[in-house]
Amino acid sequence: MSEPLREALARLPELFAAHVMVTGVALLVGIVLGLPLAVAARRRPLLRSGAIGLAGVVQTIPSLALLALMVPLLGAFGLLPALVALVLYSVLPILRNTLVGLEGIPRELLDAGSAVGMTPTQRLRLVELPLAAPVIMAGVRTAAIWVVGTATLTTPVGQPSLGNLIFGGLQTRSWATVLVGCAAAAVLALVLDALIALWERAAARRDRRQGALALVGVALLFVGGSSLPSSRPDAPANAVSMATATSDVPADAKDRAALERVVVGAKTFTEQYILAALLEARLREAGLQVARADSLGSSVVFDALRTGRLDVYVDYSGTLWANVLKRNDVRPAWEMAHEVAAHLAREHDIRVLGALGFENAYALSMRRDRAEALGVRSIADLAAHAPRLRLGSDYEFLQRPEWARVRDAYGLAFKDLVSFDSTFMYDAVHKGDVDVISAFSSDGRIAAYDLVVLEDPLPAFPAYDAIVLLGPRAANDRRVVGALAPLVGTIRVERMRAANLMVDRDDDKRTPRQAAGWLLEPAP
Amino acid sequence: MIRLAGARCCFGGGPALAGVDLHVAAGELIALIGPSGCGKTTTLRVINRLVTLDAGSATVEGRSVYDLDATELRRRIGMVFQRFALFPHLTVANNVGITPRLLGWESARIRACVDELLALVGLAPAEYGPRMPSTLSGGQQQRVGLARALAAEPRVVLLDEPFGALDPVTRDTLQRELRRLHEALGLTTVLVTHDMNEALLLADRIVVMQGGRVVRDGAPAALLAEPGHPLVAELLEAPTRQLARLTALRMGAAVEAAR
Ligand SMILES: Nc1ncnc2c1ncn2[C@@H]1O[C@H](COP(=O)(O)OP(=O)(O)O)[C@@H](O)[C@H]1O
Ligand SMILES: [Mg+2]
Repeated sequence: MSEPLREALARLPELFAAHVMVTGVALLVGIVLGLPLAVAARRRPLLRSGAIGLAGVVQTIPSLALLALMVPLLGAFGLLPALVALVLYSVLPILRNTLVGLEGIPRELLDAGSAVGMTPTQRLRLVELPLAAPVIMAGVRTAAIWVVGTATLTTPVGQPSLGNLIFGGLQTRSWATVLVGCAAAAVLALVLDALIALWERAAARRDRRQGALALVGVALLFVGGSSLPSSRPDAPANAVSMATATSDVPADAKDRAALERVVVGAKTFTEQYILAALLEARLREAGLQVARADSLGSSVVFDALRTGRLDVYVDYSGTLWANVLKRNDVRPAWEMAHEVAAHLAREHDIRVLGALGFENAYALSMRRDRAEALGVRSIADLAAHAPRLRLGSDYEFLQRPEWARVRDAYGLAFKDLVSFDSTFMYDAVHKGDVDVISAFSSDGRIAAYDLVVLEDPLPAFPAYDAIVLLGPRAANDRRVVGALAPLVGTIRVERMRAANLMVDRDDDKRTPRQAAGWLLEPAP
Repeated sequence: MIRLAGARCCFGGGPALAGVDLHVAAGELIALIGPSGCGKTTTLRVINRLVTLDAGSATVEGRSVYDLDATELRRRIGMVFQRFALFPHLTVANNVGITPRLLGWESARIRACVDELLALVGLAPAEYGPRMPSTLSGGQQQRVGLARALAAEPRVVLLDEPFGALDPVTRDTLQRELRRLHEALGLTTVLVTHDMNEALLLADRIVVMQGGRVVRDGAPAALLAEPGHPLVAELLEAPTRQLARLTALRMGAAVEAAR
């Protein structure tokens, strides 16, 4: 068995448990909200159309966007925004089906209920809900399938789920990992679907025994699934939720020097997983307990650090310059480093421990043979050929101010602009589907595919030095600082590229943890 | 026992009841008859407050129906529907026992009462009690409907075209059973029908309605002697013709036999 597959299987129980937990709670809350809302709305046309309309609008928002929106909206990350978004998704089918079920009951049966002397509440309980039950169950079934699927997207907002395997696997090109995540989600969806279908049929046939059996099955799946044993004693997958719980205690109330458990964060790409593993290894060597919170969205991870739910992660000076300092001018690298550090310390109690020694910057990049054939060495040379060339980039690049500035500064007008998942961008330029890509300067595939990074003589791209950030709790912790400070200035870009390549390549694939181990060995 | 005076009500459009006066004495069985849409069902529903009056009064056993809680009132009045309206998710026994259950009777008493009623309407309790309504024929379902209406020992029973959806043979049987139960239990019964034959056969008194008003109210014999309204004459025409034909046939047969 390959190492990535082994690691994916080892993480499966805890991620499955987290997935089942968030799915189950979201469904339960969806039912608890949807049913009474439908009952209240059925004879109130205004409320009815309002509720259905609103739920329908929520449904049209792409799930990933809805989840991401919840973070700033609720000012929290992790379980809360994940739950709120999933509940919003689950309410519509339950609400709609309950209304359809209740409104489909023949008038005469309602009259009969009143005529035999039922109060409105008794009639609802004894006649309307039992008769609408099969239709309501069908709605719950739809909601369950949606929620299981959508819960894989809660990873970037900091809620662990099977999505951790899918996001992580996609970014590190570890298809076995992606497959494990998808298969587990599919199995969960199928089992849940079958159980609720059984329940639905039991309700339609008024078979109480079978209904009870299905209900027990669903309960077992949720209770059993969510209490699967975690494979590692310190349960890294639940780190974020635990950190959320402890963050309610004001930071000053704790002894800052006695930080017992350090939470290490990572964004959603290979280099971040490797660097998080690197930080983790150093902290463990120093005898500290470590929890990991992986695959966090870019703004989520910074907010988590700022609010003390994370203690340490690696970010890039250019990213902070634009997103946190809201600057869009380009300054020399040393000046940016200084201003970023001062701003973070002053505004957010965040300490910049130091730069690791390499940059992960946007860099326009081409195949060496193509660049030589065209005689292109810098972006300035590229401008003349651009109208006949295609530019490939990740989803984000074309929206970023860096692209606008580079485009305007050099007068670039490409024939075509194509967006890819960054994983596929390198393949595309390698195969000649596009001519130029917005590569990341530390990516291992630059060396592997023999790409050249075009020079930026102006410069128009800002610096993206990798820097270690310490959150308010860790900033003054001697043991944390002592464990991580020796890393400053030790990773040259060639070594980072090599480490990234180990994880991203298809043959002789290594896990991020193995790559981190390699980085810790003394450089040759 | 039941009295409506100047009863009026509207459903958005024109008036469904345009001033109905009606009196039903204790122990009486009256038939409400008239063309479709004339307000028969509405009149019936005023009595157990499934319909609320806009004007006029409705009293049962000397008290305005609006003095009582609607639920209390309905538990004391039985109702039978044209399309049976049995609860499809409850067994026959639970359908029949629903009002006693709502009244909080002990389960032993409910069971005894359900068995007695099923026997009374001609369904063997052990065989039919546990069955679901959908497994019964139309006639059997309406027997259950009748049993359900009688379960809480009401003194007033309202029936809305209860035999309209049944075949003629079953209808005839159930008509006779209704009359038998009415007498045996000392009920006060209001029967809505569109069938003059049924009214003539069962009722102590026939109340003819048209356009939300009572146009004629009298014993069957009185109506036959003096229709008093073109609609009554029209409604009586078919039974009269049947009777004439039947008599002629019988006479012919007698002549034939005499030869
Ligand atoms: N729930 C209701 N909503 C609106 N109109 C109604 C309603 N019930 C009865 N009506 C109207 O009231 C009139 C009398 O109806 P109904 O009492 O059912 O007549 P019948 O039972 O004699 O056929 C009809 O015109 C009917 O359309
Ligand atoms: Mg009617």
